[in-house]
Amino acid sequence: MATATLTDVACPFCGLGCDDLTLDVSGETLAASGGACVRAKLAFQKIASTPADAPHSWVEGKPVSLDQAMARVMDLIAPSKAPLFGGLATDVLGMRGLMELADRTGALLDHMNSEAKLRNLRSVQDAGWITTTLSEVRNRADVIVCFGTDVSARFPRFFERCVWVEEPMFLKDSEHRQVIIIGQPKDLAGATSPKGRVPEVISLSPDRLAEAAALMRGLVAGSLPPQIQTDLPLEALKSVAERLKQAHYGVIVWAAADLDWSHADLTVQALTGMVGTLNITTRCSGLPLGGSDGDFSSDAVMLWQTGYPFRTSLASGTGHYDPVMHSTQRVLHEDEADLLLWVAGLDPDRTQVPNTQSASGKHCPMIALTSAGAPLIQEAMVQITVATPAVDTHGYFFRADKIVSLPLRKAIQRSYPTVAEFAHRVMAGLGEKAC
Amino acid sequence: MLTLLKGGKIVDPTRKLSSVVGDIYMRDGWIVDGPKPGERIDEEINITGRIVMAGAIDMHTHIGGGKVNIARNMLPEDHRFDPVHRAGLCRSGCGHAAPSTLTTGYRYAAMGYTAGFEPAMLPVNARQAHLEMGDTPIIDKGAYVMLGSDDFLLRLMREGASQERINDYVGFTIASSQALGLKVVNPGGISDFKFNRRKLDLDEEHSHYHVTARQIVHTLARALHELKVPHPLHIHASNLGVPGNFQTTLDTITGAEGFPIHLTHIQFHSYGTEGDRKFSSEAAKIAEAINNNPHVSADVGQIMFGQTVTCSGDNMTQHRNAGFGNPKKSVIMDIECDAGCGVVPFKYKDKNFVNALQWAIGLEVFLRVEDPWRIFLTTDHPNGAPFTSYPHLIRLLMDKSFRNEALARINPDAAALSTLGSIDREYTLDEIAIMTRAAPAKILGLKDCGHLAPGARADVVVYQEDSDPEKMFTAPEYVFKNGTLVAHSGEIVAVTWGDVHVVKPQFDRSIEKPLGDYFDRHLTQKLGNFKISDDEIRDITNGGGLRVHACERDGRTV
Ligand code: SF4
Ligand SMILES: [Zn+2]
Repeated sequence: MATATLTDVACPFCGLGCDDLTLDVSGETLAASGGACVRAKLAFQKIASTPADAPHSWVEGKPVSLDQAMARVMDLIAPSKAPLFGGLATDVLGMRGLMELADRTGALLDHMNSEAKLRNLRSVQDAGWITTTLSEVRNRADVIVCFGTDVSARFPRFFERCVWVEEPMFLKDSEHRQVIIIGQPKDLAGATSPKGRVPEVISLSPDRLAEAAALMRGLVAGSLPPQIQTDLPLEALKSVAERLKQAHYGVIVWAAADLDWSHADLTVQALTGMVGTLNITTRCSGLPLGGSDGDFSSDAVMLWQTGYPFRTSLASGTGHYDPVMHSTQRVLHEDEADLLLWVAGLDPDRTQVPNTQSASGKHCPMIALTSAGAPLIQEAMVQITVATPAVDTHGYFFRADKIVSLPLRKAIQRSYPTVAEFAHRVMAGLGEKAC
Repeated sequence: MLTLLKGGKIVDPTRKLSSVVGDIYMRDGWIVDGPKPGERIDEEINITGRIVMAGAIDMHTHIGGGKVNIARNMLPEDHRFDPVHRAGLCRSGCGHAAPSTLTTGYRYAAMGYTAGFEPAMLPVNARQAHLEMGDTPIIDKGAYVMLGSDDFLLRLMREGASQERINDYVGFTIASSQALGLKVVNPGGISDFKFNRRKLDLDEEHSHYHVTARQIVHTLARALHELKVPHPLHIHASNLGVPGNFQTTLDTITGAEGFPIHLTHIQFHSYGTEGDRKFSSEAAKIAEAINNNPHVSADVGQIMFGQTVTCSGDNMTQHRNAGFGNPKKSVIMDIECDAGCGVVPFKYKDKNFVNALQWAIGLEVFLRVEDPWRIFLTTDHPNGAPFTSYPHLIRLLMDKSFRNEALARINPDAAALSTLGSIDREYTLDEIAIMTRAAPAKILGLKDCGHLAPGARADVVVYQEDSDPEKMFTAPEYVFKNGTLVAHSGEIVAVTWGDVHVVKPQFDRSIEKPLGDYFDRHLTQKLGNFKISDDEIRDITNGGGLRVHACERDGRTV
């Protein structure tokens, strides 16, 4: 039985991209330790615990060989006129492969996290923003406002790695940092300082947050009428605005996924607009956390290869970006795709799949590429277990600040195809095709 | 496979060949003397009457890395007007200001360029830069890694670390990021912006580290010299775009104290404060300084009128200029105790006084610097204009009457202030060949590029001569990359993947001990994962190779 210990391993199971994990490999078991959080431990263990000889390809729910599954894949892809590549939870190398296939087949590309990402993207494409990265937060941030986001729930080690550190370079210590939470986080353990200082919480339900962001923006800009009428906690928000103005390096943290209400892009704009105003006199930055499910990794590849982000269709032979019309859910609902290639190749617990039934009741056939350990997807005509980067294969992963990309290492040997190999096999099957 | 290009007019400044009729043989990707005894010529192409040059080299073009992807993300509206359809061998993409990587490679190659160098690779973002360059087909690539506002260097300098120690750190950074050179951007300023500084002059002290930009420039220029890295320090000087900054530029030259330096996008650093609007050209003074200092070279960063996007590591300057953005949006970032970036779309207008004068200043610098070996043809793609405007720029340099017609169309106040109209110089074909291939290869230390002598890479371009240089340089008749015909009259006929050019300076590996410790204590990444191995480069370049250039250099120039 092969045993090995890998150190300084990077983790792709949330956008934080911690790279200080230790992996103990023993045959087919994989135990993550070192810095690994519970989520990482479970993910590594779950993916690795599928025996190499267990079924890994299915056609209509029945185990088949990879060749048989691929034959069915070709039957579906070859005649497809309007394929939709959804999910897209993969790394850079997986996405490179998918992009080649998408270009070849004229596919529409959309990620499982697009709806959330768009809240940020619309704001960037409209006005831009001022942002920062994890190590800057770690060393500089003296006032940290978590807005509407349960940061620890989405990014388990955020506070440990970016806030409560022993020696921030430009602060006396971490203990004196101010952490302010606007919203209703489930628990405050992560945000509580090592010496037990609990963060200040301005408890607001999600339906009040859009208003709160707009109010804070006005407070910082000094643009509100003097006798403003509001049932929001005005004094508390005023105090936050004041502290941000006094801060040397304030940081506003949010995860767009948590800003789950309509037109939340305007809330993002209120926050980034506030940051812009603060930077007239002091320094302040946004930290729009993302990157989970490989959303920054596959989006980055799309951007550099096509010039456009997710929700871009290559059907006309060139990129056509439409953030509204090209949503997976809408395209399926309106029966505008004749095939769904669903890629969920990272976290096996990311099991939600879109509803493939259109308004007229038709089912869009689905091919699913999933990590080992993922459940069988009922609706999938074909399901193939693909090599998970960081477990079965190497790869590259963009973490939460979009700047640092990490090498993912192969830990164990199984025979699953990588997402890129799958794409190349399909392309070989399609043969030469004049453009 | 032996290919003969027969009877072309060879323009090869490295060998002082000026339109000399001759033959060029290519075997297996290299230029060779001729057939071995008894060897058959597999392919013969008659190029009688055509001009033949080595492949062009863009020594400063933002083709990879986070800031370019930010620009792409921000500007779908700019891409919509330049769609690129999947056709023939080429995949789809898009062009204009921040083109897709695929389109970038195809368009460069179709224009006779066989190499392009990304000048602002942040160490912590190096992997992304290489991934993007890896997806840029046909052309060779390489990058200059950025230091000078990174906390590790500034800490070393504050502690008074020895030059040797700093050299080790510079050597380590170049090697572990797989770079070809080193760049400094607004020395110390990107860091001081994080401490709320808004302007940092050459001799002002950094508010936290108390070192000056002058010290940073000198220390890094000396480090490269002592590490024998061929390309001298690539400097984006302090005070970019600020009226009166010509003095900073002149002081930067003096500050290097004779160590070789390269001043990048010098056009943006040649501004005076004369005139009613307190904005004027000091191109003559800058050119004179370059003429008088043989250890100094520069690329121009010419602006062209139209929509583009500025992508810079200089977040201090970009934040200051964000209000001029057109469309009005900007992304400004502080990055990882390492660097920063700022992306601001811009529309340069010929009727705008400042823009028109910027245009004239760039051309003045081109025409007033006498030695074409030390001035390089760039638009600082995409900051001054997209690289696709090079043929037009070449015509402006080669054709005085064309230039003066253009001058007559710009903002009249700017035209009146500029001495451009009085300059008679027209670049010759030889000079264009120097500044676009022979000189970049020389200054980057690429011994087997930029010329056509046996032993060179078979990167060869064949042009149909034309009285209109813009036409001539837009779509050469034949472009060979490593001996493969990749483009024919503007059409891509083969898609290959170029190499990555790097240097591997010698340094004391013991620097990794304090560095590893620093990473663990202060950063959010492990040193081991920061480093990019040779295998990794090969893994991400789609089959392109890794070309390591020797670190050797003549002694101190002055
Ligand atoms: S916080 Fe995220 S990246 Fe870090 S170990 Fe946990 S799941 Fe992995
Ligand atoms: Zn530049």
